[in-house]
Amino acid sequence: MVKPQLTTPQLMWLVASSLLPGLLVATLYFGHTILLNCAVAVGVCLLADIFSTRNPRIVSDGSATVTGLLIGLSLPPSIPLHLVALAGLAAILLGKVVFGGLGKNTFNPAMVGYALVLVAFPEDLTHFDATTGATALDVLSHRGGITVGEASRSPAYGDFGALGYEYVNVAFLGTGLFLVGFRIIPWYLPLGMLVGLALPALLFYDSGSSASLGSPLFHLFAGGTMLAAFYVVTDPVTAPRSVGAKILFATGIGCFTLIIRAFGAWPDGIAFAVLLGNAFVPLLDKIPFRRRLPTS
Amino acid sequence: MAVETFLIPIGFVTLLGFLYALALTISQRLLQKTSSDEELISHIEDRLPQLQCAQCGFPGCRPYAEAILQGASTDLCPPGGERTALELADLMGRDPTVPLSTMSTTNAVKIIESECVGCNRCAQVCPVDAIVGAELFTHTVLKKYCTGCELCIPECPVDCIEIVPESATT
Amino acid sequence: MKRAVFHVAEFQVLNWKSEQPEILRDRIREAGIVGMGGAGYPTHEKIEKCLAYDPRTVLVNGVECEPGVSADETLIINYAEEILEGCAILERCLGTTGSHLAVGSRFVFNTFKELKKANTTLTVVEATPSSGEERALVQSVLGQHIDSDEFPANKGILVLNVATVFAIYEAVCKGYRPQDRIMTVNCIDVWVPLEEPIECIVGRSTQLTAGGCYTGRLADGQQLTQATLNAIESDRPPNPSPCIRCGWCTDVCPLKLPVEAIYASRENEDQWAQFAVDLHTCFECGACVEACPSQIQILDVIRQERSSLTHQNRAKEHARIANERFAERNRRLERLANQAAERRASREQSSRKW
Repeated sequence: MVKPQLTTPQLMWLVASSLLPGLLVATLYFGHTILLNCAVAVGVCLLADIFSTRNPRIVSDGSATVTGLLIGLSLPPSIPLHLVALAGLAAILLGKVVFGGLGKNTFNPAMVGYALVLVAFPEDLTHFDATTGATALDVLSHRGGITVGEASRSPAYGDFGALGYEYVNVAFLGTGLFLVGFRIIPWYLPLGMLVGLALPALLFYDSGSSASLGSPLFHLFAGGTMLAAFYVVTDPVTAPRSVGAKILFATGIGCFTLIIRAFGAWPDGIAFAVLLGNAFVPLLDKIPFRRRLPTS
Repeated sequence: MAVETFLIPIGFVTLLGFLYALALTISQRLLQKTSSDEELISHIEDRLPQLQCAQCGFPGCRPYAEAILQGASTDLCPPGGERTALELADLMGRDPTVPLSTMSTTNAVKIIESECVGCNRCAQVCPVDAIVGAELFTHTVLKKYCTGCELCIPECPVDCIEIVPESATT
Repeated sequence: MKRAVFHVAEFQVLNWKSEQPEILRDRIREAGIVGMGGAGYPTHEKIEKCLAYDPRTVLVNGVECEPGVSADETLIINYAEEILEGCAILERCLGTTGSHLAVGSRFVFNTFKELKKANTTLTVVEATPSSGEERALVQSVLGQHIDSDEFPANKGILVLNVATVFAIYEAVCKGYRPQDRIMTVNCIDVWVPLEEPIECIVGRSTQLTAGGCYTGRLADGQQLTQATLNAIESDRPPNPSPCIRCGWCTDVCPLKLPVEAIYASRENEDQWAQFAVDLHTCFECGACVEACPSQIQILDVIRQERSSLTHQNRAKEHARIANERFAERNRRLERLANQAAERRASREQSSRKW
């Protein structure tokens, strides 16, 4: 197995730059506000990292940049900027620094920041899009008695996923596959998460009654599914150790996502699903997935 | 907003905290009772360096462990040094105190055989029988078994026992 | 290549084709030749061990495992004939016919092709971080498996490094004692005198590394060069990044050791015990250091943990023995006291009777 000889900062910058195509597509669909969000989030994360470590050169390790980009991409485009800044601050301070810095955090910093804003300011997050009203996930979640077919005629739906989000997701799928191809991230983590999300969705999909959870295809290309599968779940710091535990971890996050999307109060449950998964990591690490010793 | 909006949750959480603290305290007391004295002594003994040097004032490590359980100070073991004292204090839940004198536990002693007069006093005090020799004949130290407790040094009438530092023994 | 030391023949030159094997073995012992691959095991003892079992073949290890170290390769290319002659000497010592030479690249293999020696079989082994370890080499060249608690010598296979074979050739055919060896000094292969302070060779530095950049240890400038050392670096990768638990070290470990878990428990003494076997299995190939994106010197941590674990175990064993002997002494003293008391009692009884 040939691995690229990259240093940790180089890896981080590679991941950060592979987020840019997705950011471009998102800008095309949601307008320049998402660019502004990303800029603010990255800036706040870098500043928080510098101030907490008192080392300006920490910027070069790229991890705060990745965190900032993830926050900017996962927060809704029309959110007030001070909430973006709060998310970035919480991500670095509560998600990373309190645990002892890069490599020691239990929870994914970006998801900590996102979840904090989501919990603390639900009004600002759910009433975001002035032009299309709510997102497709919102429509699905709060549709009352109508069937999925009727719900999908809502202007929030796109060709096969949520309007706009579907192509953003395609972009992240593309760059994510690129990272998998170059063995920067292992293939089983994103696959596990996607299977964990799509398989239960397929099992409970009754071609769209009023009690349906939504089609698997819709779930795969709605909200931040691909972003989470390729960029959040694969964060090595907050994933368990062995391959078996990693697969359990990823499929678990996929299942949690579906459950929260279908039954939870929040439209997109990825952040909570990831945090839940992170909380299980110490437990998963205890499972003795015996490594194969060279036969003696 | 009414004041109750704040007071009720604060009061509720404080009450919950008290309840949890109570439950934890009771369960800790119960758990402590269940471990017998015998187990506690062996736990203490595990942390002692097992030199059997009796410098603590008790004849050996196990008697000292028993004495600690009865209330003896945890900082009486010079070979264990600061580390053992702190560990013992932690184990017994006492205030950490540090022994006045410490010594290395990894040394050994050696008898300068040309000067030995064969008085046999050193062999009599050695707690691990690491000194061999008959009266009026030259004695020697079995380096393999010597714990370096230095009990023999003050006994020697001709000062022919010297300390061999660890690096030289291995 | 220019030798580092002017050699004077200290021993009589032997014609190995006509000498008795015992005399050749004595020469190897007298010249003080030790294994130059890393472990430094005395070569004559290895030969004797091999003879004690059923000697089968000689396997010369010319596989370079570490990127950036090419001392053996340079030696083979420049002194191919001498090495083949050394192989023949060893064959005579063991009384076997035929030997194997494993090299790490096709390029080196081609140097030998022109020489066409009948007895030595050439094999090209893919150079991975672990392929030069002697058991792995025996497996890949001879197809024989050797358990990790056994040595190839126990199976009659004499595995020697090329540098050792070259030293044997010089000791027998030129009468030299080994006084220098080829080392990769900051990526350049040169003859380096032995028993010389490292800082006299590469200059003063606080980051001197004895060994390659992955498996080497931080060295003191006053440390002397040894026959077992194959590389010197004058610096190490500065300021490693924090571990991000990527697990690549675990992925690349040829022994499938949980390297990342071992590294993560480095500050937790209680957890070392569960890795005791792993720590002692590691043969320090350096694959993990090579794979680490954060450039952490994982081997340093493993070596340090291993030595403190050994130290702890030794102390524990010592304490156990001391405790046993103390208990035994107490029993004896008690017994003696009892006997004395009995004697006194019987004496009192008999005196009263009298």
